[in-house]
Amino acid sequence: MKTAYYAIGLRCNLRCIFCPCSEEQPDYKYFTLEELKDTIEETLKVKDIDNFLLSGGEPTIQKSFIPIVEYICQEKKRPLSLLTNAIVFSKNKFLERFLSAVGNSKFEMVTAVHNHIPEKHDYLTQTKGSFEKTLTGLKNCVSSGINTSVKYNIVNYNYKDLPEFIDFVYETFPDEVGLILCNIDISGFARKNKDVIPVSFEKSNPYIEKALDKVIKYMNNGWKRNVRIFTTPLCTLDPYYWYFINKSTKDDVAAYRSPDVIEENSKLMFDFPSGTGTPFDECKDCKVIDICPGSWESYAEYYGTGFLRPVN
Amino acid sequence: MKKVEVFSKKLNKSFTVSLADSCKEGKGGTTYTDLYTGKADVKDQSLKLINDWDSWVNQGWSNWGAICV
Repeated sequence: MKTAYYAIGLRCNLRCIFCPCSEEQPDYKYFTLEELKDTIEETLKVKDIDNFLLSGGEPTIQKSFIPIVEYICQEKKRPLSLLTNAIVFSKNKFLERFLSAVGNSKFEMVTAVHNHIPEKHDYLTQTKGSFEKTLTGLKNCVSSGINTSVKYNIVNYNYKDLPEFIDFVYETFPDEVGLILCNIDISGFARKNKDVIPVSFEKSNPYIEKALDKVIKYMNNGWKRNVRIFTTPLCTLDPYYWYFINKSTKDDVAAYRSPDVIEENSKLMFDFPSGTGTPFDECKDCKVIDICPGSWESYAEYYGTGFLRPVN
Repeated sequence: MKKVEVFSKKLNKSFTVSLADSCKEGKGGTTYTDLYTGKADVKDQSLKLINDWDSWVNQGWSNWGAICV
């Protein structure tokens, strides 16, 4: 699966305290519609792209958003993925315009909900009322039949709440809504907010396991929700839970473009490295290296590699 | 098919995990679902490790999460 990943603009309607883009937001860098169309054409000349992924900042609040969705879905007839906080979809008129732009194309979106307690979500987004708006937007999208997943970014501030968050998801969203548990890149703002953001696998994984015990109970009660854990090495979790770990694809992003204050950095790049995986010396002789998603290189920079327990 | 013996503290026992990308649940062997539902005793059994996430948003790059929340 070859993905073209474009961050179409850095402006955002949230100020998440672990977002690597937050530092660059004052510059509000973005691509114009023409720049994005040219980027797509250039990408397709070089790579056989299976799907396009739009990100930001918050992609939905960029001027070019609706037209570029229309271009990808209706003119290029490619599947589209969207990383969004879903706030704009709390407005039905915007959702209607968006659905019209997507047309009959395959589409899916992923939205982060940082906690089931509104105040805690709002603290991490630094935006009062964002929990309610995101939840309304998500529910609107689900009601419209959009293929949707909820993502929980595991940080020091919220990892203990994960088991309760599981109940919230099962009580709030229908079975077809996926759930992603994701460890984050410890860079930029995440490093600056040391007390709130970085959390070690040693601390968070017992709570992940408790959360997965709940998921298993729901499975036994007939629920079929797709629950997956990202950027968590197999060796850090009890093998009983390996079913939930998303396997490594070993693929880099086929094409990548993001605005940047430095012109050189905002050029279209191919086979862009992901910054995750199993590049660590300790992993070389591990028997499950072929399927292990590994972790962020930034995690190892921050915590060292002592957390790795190669399977031999 | 590569098989790896692992020890689970949760189960307090060792079992074997088959590492095959193409394995799908329900095509023979004991599965993790069997394990979770208590239908199978995993002792001396092979558990196929499957990954059936069909979302294409994650196929190319599983780390997008930090780029946009």
